[in-house]
Amino acid sequence: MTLSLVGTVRRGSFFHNIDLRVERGEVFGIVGRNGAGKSTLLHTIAGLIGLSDGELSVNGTVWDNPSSHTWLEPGERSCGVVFQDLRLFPRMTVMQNISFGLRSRGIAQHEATDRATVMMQSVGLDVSYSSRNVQQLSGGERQRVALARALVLQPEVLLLDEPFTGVDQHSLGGLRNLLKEVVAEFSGYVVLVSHNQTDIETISSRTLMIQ
Amino acid sequence: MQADAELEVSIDIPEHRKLQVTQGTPDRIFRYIITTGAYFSLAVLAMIAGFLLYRGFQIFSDFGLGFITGAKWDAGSGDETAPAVFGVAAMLVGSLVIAIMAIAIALPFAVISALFLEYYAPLAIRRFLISILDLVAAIPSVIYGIWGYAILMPHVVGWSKSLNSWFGWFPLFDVPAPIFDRSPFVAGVLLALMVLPITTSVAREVYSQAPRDQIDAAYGLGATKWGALRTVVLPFGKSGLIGGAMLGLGRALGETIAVYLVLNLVFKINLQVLASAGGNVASMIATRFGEAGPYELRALMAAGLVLFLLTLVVNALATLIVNRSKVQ
Repeated sequence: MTLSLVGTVRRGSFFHNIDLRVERGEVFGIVGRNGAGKSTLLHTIAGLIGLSDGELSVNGTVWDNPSSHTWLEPGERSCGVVFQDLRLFPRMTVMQNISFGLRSRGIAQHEATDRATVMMQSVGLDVSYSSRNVQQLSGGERQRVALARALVLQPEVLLLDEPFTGVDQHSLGGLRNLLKEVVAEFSGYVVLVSHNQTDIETISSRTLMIQ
Repeated sequence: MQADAELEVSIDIPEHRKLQVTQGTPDRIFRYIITTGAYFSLAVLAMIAGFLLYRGFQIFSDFGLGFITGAKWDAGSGDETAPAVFGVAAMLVGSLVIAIMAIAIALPFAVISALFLEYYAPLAIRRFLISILDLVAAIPSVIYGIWGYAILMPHVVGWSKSLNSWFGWFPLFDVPAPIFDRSPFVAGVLLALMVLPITTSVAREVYSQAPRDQIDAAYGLGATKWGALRTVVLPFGKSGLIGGAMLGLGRALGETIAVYLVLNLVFKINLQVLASAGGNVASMIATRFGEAGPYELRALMAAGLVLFLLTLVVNALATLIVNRSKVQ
């Protein structure tokens, strides 16, 4: 069972011919300089950008193949994304942010709230934070919300885009340990993107360098 | 080395450096131009208000607050047997009722149209529809008025009858007599069509600036297109939409000729929107202006001042609401 992306990812002035295969349970690291197209690659897997050619498949199910006009909408892909700039919804509370994906997938309010509460505790967020607006949180806390928001969906593929950006030195150690625990327990496919070689080496098992 | 030795630390904190910016001649000229422009707009507004106050002052001193609260408008016979009585309450209420009705009808359509244009319409169709929208916004009021009277009103009369038969128990939709043409509702629907282009245009502009990355985030979490719009775009555009609605309200409050053509001018406070009686300040001024004597002319100037102030208050309220919703 693999996540396979073979094809061309194109955005703006750059494009990459990619041959990427990730095994289940593996943490696959992608490293490269800023602007190399690392985030674009993750967005392609998440379905926010389409492949120019080639094929993206997970467990044998084709998610994107331009030549056969196969396209799975982002909501139909079992992906959890932690964006580089987090992209939390600023007008929503912590609970609303975390349960957003569940509610979007038609999960009932009470069940979504229960699952979000459990996930909050798993990522080390106090339940009393539920009703706080995300703008009131520190960088580290916001990062935990973003992680919970991705994990609560119980995705097949976890996409982590520069998960330590914007985190202060004080919170960095705790967050790094948390992420290690999370990916160790995660049974799906993890793709981690970073420009920091150390982050990649300590967490991922294989690495792809994008120039 | 003494353990309890006092540690003296002396830190010299430098004073804040004073920065002096020397403006060059082009900067100074530009500054004068924009300052003059800003003050000129204010001066024009002040002159309009001053002129109306000057011409209408006698009316305010003769009738006092009664000019605002009274609904009767009678130029009298010019002697003591039938003295002139002027009050703008009926027209003020009429202005507000019609304008609010117009915005209430136009706003949902404006939101839907703006979302369609920005997020659903194919590029070629979008460009075409936007130019049509701009074109419709430029149609003169009198054309709207004639079209409203000849084409729209017969249809709206049918809707009025239906509303009255279903919801006649509600005071707003009750009528004293079964006559439904030239009513505030007809004027409200016509004004809704008139303010729709500008409100849609503002809403579309605001929605187009919604953060793309957050829309993507919503998609990435499994939201449908509507879910992403509801979560990101609509809350983001709330304050701008209110601003657009208030812009439309401003136009609706001051609309003259279209309202004049589709509404029966009756000097009585009427909240029954389907009844064939009403008016607004602007159309009342247009109606009475031609045949007014010198004293009534002063009353019309005073009415103009009241409308001017009402529009200023509405705009001030709009700014307040927009600022508050931005803070939230």
